[in-house]
Amino acid sequence: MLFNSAAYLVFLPIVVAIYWFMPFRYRTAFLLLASYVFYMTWKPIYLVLIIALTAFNYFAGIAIEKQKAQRKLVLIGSLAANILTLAYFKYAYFAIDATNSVLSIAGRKISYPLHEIILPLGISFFVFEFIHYLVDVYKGSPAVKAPLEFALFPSFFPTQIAGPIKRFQDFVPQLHKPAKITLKDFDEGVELILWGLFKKVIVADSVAVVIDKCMPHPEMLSTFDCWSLLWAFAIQVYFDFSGYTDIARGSAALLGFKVPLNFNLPFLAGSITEYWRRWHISLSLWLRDYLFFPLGGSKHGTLATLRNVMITFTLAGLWHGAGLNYIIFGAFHGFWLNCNRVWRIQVEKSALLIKLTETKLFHCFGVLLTFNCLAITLVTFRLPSMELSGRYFQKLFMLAPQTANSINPLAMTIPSIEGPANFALFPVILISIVIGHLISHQLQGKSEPGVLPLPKPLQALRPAYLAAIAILLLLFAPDGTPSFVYFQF
Amino acid sequence: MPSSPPPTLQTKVDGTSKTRALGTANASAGIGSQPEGKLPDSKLTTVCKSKVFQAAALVVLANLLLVITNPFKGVDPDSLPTLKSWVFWTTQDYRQEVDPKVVLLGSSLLMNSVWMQEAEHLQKNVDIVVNRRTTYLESVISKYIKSYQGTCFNFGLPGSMVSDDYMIARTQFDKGHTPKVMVLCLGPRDLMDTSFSCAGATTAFKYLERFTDTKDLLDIAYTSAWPKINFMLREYIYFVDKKYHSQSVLGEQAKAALNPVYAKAAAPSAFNVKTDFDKQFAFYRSEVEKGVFIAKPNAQTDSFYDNGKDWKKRFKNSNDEMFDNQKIWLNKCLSEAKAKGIIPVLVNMPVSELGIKYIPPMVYKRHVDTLIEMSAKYDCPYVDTMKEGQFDMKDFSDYGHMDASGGRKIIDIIGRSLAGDERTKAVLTSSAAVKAGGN
Repeated sequence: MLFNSAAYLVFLPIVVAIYWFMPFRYRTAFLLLASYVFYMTWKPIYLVLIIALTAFNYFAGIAIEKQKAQRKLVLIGSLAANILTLAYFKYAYFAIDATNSVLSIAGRKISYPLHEIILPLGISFFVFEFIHYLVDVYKGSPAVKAPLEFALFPSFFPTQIAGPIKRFQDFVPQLHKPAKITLKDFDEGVELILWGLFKKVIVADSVAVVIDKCMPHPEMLSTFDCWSLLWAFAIQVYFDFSGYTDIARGSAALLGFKVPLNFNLPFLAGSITEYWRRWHISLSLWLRDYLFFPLGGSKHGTLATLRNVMITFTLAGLWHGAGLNYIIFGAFHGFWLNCNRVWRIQVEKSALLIKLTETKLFHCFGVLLTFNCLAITLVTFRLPSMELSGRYFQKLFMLAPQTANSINPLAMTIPSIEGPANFALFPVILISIVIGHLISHQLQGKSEPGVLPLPKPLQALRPAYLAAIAILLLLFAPDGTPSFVYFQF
Repeated sequence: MPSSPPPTLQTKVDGTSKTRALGTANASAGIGSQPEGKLPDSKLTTVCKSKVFQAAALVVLANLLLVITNPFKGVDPDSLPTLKSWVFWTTQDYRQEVDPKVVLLGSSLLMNSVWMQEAEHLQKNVDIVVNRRTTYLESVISKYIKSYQGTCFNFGLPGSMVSDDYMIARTQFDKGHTPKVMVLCLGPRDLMDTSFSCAGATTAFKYLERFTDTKDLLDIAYTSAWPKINFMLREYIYFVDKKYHSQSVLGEQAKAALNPVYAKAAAPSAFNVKTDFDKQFAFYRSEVEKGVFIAKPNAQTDSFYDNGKDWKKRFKNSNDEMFDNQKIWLNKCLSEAKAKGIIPVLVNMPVSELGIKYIPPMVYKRHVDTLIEMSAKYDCPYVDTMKEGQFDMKDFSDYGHMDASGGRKIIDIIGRSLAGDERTKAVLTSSAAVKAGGN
């Protein structure tokens, strides 16, 4: 069940209504049931997997807490079980395929049989939550004793499929508070859902129409086209994923839960390091706590730090999917982060450079540079093969014969309008986003709380703004239900 | 990235939303402390303070205003964005015809065979997507009615049910496009297909309902929940009902406003040239493209496609509920034709000897009996091709669809029957005579 489907718009109000009318002691059980129903609408059989993993980790957590002598062994065993489960579903096909290719190149006639494995929705996210749980219990956090509460932690339907990756120390205590929904929560929840749908349906899906058609054909693109598409794709991914997160947070708010913020105006980051503090924050923090720090973090000198960053982000790339393209995507990020780290070390040595980097002009330069560095990494993220990515890079850096500009949304004929029909507004959308981002940034901390930052004198306009979003959604909602980019991970 | 602690980080970069961002410490922020299970304050004044309710009121108000003023009333339904489906192309082609004499209605059982025979008859390639005239039927009628002049049109659509045929008759048979004779070619599937959900759910129905107000069809068109909900939304929410209208108008206005900028910024797009991939892609999205379906002359082969599995599925039970529903549509279709001065002709389509084995005898009998009953009720000709034609397996390319030889036989029977029936002969002859006199 996708958040942008009609089914969810029926499912959510029903769950919210029953939840608040239900006696407090049954609410956790009811939410768990609702979450399992939500999961089963995709592939009922995989409910067995999520239940089995939940049961395993529940007992593993308790065992780690109770064991004195062999708790490390239990931790390693249970982490291995989680990672192997993830690896099987996510990487077995890729590994066998790669092995067969190597054998073929080596002239061997044997090959291992390939069976398509359907990736269970959300597995990358809930396995990360289990790993966090086991490690934190090992470090001394008390294990969750109530089985229903533990089961709800990974399966909580608003965050089940694509995060944000929660922390059980934040989530479980919320189950103990006999809450009632307030008008403020209700307004905030609905506002987040509307805004998330707007991001997904009006912006991301509109831009996707052009991206899907043009990006896989670098031979028809000019260098300018290639850059425009990359910028647009960055916008698409951001609005798609942050739209999903807003709907998740809004849905959780309607049930009285707070889940972590995942995005904070990432395209205004002045460096790639800052970018990762603003983009997919819950993943960034998870990588830091459960991968980067265990590798040694930044405690063992510059070279070791650079190595750890590289390993962390290459693995983060692999987390996105089984494929060389994703590994390169992650490695790209590791490389940019290391470049930034080396640069910061140089800056710290020079008073002149410190002064220079503190200027507004330099910050603007940093924002542009960061955005373009990020855009470059998206080539391998979006294109399915390295051969295609190679050809795209050639066009991008003027290493291939040039063609005329082709990205003219007005003159383009999209084969189908089953998707949104407002692609003519594509460049207007891009410009509006930049302006919107800048305004949001300026207003942060100076306006009333709410999804859209509005100065206090303009608060009266908030209902009109919400009404406008609702009307735009009604007018431009596609007939189909395009999936979210991050659902495939 | 990973070296900064998260709380500091989030507090620093997200001043306003830090309470929402962080879990435990602020988890209960905004959550009241009233006793469990107690409902929120339901006083009207409190509810009115909600920004969401205020916004909802604004949407309702705007909706009401638009319902009253109806600014998109004048928008041409043909200009609305749509899937380029079979019904789209066929309708486009039909609108080019001026008062065709005979229109054939039916499913792909009719569409395919007539189209393939057309290529044989003309001895040239025929693109079914954009060329629906059936000159072979014209020539057959001319053989029996010497003074006959006029065009015949193949309005067969893949998957079409009688409800779709009714919508064609209701929306397309209007001034300048009203045939003299409507030949309704129905196989057993067309009234009871078990893989069919409800009348209002087909691509053809969805496309055609833009040309008419379907309020009177609610009970018979939307017999399952989702389509009914969608209909109700369209009925009561102007923004949903006029979604395509506003997209069309706003899209054109946006293009007009932006064109001066774009015209200078970029040359005509290379992406306008559709590749084979585009065409193939379109096909998989219920769309078709010119050039995808070409019938070639002298292409008769003995190959047989085994669609037995699909065929059996469509007849897995008698689907009484659907049959009863489609019978209502058949009544409406024949009434509509009569009301517009069109003579309807009912044709029982042939089924291969292999295909008929999988149709329960009761289902087939019910189908034939219904056609006979309807022809008597509406005083219209009935043609049973299974009795009149000598079809064998060579005329079929699968369990139900015929190829060019089957198409020739069916058209021969229809042409002969139209000329042989006094009612149809009269309108086909007299209109020709009037035309001749006028000349």
